[in-house]
Amino acid sequence: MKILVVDDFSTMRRIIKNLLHKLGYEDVDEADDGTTALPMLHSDHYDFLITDLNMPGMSGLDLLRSVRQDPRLAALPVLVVTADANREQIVEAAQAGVNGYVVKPFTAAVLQAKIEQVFNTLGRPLTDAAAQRGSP
Amino acid sequence: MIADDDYADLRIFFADEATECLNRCRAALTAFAAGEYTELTMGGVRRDFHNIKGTALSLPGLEVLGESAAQCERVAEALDRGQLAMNPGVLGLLNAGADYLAVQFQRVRASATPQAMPAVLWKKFEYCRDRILQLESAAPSSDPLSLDDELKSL
Repeated sequence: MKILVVDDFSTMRRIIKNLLHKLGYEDVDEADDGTTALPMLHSDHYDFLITDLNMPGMSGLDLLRSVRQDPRLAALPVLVVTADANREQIVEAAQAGVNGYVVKPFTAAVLQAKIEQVFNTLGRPLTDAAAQRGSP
Repeated sequence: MIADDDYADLRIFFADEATECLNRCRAALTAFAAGEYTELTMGGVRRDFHNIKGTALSLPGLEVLGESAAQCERVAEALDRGQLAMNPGVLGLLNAGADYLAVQFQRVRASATPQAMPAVLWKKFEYCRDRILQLESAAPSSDPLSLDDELKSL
């Protein structure tokens, strides 16, 4: 499964990448905001997008809206990462079509549970999604 | 000493990135206090503290820095929203918070355990937090709250 991690803070990107590697997801790219992420999403095939919400340039919410408005990307599963359980922000993300959210700090187990939840809700159990791209 | 675990390298990397953010914030806060132009807005200062908070809380051993950055973020957010007046007392407090964090990140770089925020400083941030919460539960006001005198008396 090929994953794109978007966060303006490079340590946070590393943390998420490390957690994903621990979970066995080796094919992980990173971008520092929505403006950088969008062309990457267009030029390569990603199975999953993990994005922060609070970013300068193009925010996570704007990135999510752009993804949902683009017929080529609209079906991409998106998980947002936020440092606050800010209800307003989460509702906005839900309205924009997010598939799930996780509040920092989180463990590898929590992240795995969220990823599984997203794919189960979409009716695409993780094993099927993973099978398209190799394990897990 | 912080335990030499899987996160040792990440903590050092974070200390460097956080130090860059804090230097940027301190320069901006000094410019705000002097009424000078600064490229970094108060929203940018808030985001820097926000990033430090979220990352510190994600790295074992740095939780105390996450909690302190959360205090700074709250004040920066209230300034950005215009809830608090941008006066020397509040800007000075925020600068002191950034100074404290910068010193602690030097300790992190040396693999030492970060120390808690000094009690007097913490008390001032707690006071600001309480006043901001009061503001949020009260009827909206067009005038930002000045905590200048109150902070001096603490």
